[in-house]
Amino acid sequence: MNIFNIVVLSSVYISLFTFFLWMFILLDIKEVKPSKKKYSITFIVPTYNEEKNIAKTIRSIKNLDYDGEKKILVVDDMSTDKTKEVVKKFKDVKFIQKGVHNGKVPSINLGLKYVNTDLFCILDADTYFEKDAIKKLTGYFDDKKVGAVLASLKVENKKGLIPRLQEIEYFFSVFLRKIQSYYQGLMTTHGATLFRTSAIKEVGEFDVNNPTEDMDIALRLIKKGYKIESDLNASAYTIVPTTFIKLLKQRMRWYGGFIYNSIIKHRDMLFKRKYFGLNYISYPLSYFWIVLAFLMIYGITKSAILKTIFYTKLILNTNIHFSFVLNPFVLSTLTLLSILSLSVFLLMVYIMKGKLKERISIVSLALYIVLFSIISSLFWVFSIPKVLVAKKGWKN
Amino acid sequence: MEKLRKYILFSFILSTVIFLGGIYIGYTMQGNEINSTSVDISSIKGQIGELEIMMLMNSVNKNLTCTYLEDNVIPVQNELENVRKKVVIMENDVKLRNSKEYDELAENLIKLRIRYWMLGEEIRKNCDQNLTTILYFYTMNQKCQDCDIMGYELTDLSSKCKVIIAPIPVDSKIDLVRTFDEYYNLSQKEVPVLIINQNQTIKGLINENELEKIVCHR
Repeated sequence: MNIFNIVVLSSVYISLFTFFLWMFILLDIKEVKPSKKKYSITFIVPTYNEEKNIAKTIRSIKNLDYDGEKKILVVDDMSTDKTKEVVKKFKDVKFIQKGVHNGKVPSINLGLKYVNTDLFCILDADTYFEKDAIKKLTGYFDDKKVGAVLASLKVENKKGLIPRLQEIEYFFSVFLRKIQSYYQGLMTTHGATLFRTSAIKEVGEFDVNNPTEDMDIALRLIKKGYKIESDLNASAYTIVPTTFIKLLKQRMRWYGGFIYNSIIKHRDMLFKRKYFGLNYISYPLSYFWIVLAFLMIYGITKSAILKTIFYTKLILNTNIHFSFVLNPFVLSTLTLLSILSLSVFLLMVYIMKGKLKERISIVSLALYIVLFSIISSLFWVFSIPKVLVAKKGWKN
Repeated sequence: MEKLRKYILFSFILSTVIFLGGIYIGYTMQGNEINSTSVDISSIKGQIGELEIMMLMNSVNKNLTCTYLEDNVIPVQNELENVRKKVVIMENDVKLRNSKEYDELAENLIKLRIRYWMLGEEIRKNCDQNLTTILYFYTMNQKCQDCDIMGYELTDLSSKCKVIIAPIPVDSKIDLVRTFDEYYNLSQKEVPVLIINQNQTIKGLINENELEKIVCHR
């Protein structure tokens, strides 16, 4: 048996194990009820040329079904459009104009200085919450150990292949985060997260040199003993990249950031039993798939090169008007195991659909299974060079 | 934490049971595939045996036996080709390729094709001057794109004219094949090699049009 077969068989085994583990956890998950305590909340909205989206975001915050005190803070990164004029129309919204254009994270840190509420939320101008989302998220903060709670982030713009693939990816991510939070292995926050202000003040401001400052802050919270939670039913919607290039740029930052934070910046957390979920479930599974991504890209590239040479020679030497003929279906061990894994996977998707009460298109799911694993593998491969050059902190 | 440990244990047990079960069923099915191909080979062996008996009767009634042989020799080639395709699929399955059962099957097929080629030679010499026989030497152990292309060319050629082809892997451990290698003085480096009607040798890849001129328009 060669190395390729060992890798394929072990990936089938690990997939089966993961799917079963996820299913057991999913069936045991119980959502937290909204808190009776009315926490005060500040919404920090960092902006840069967001004249088209900002009004919708502010209105969505104002329309939130939440009885506690709400404050809105827009921190503008020297926009050159009419963002300021649009925000100024809302009288109870605090607008902070920065003196320099230096990015989103410095805007958040500046906004943080003005936060004096129990909780705060960083909301991108292209992201908004469903009406009852915040109310649902507050319930987790009754546990003093909870430092941040993530909403169930979904795709707003669903037209086109790239957004549709991401729609399915986000669907799975919602569950992955919930499952990771079950075993305290959730190591990130995102654009629709509610933070405990005192916890963030304790760990310090967001790292401006970190490619994924949201993962960095999550790991810092975990180090201080805080828990990161995630909710399935508190929904938020975001605009996702619509082209492959935009998606590639985003994912190079995300994936590179994941590697940078997990094994470079926060390497002191590695292998410690204190962070069991992180070190013994989340990281091993993630890194197994990264290695698999590399092997997959290597295999596909090698095969594509050899096949191109072969077919060129074949065309030049023969009169064969060949078409791509697939070998008849052979029910081998690997095929059988793949069918079994796919069945367990589909059973898991069925349970997920029931939990989220959301319709997902079969076509999108099929495309996701076939295409996204390859695309995603490519992203991992492209991300590594960025990590390798990041020695003393990451420069975007 | 206690619950999580329980879930990890259950997941481990379930995935191990399914995984090992899948491997067991897969192996059993592969065994069946080998058995069914062996049955096909036995059936072809019977047909070739019949043709060989007819060849032995050639001296008694040349006209009658030659007509029979000319009519029946090519259909056997088609059946051999179908079996070859099945064996090629098995060859791509690494686990199967390394099994003892596969080795036996492949050996039987090679021997049968050589036997068929020898029968073809007899028919060509005694009955049908238009029939062409080809011994096609290729390699199994080394990546040989030229061999693959030659394989395509020969398959295409067999649909255009009366030709009997015996593909022989030079690196086979079968004594019979080694004897052929020595007789024609062949090595792995020279493949693909074609021996046409036992008197013409073509080494290396040849364009299909040229090959067609040599084989079909003699």
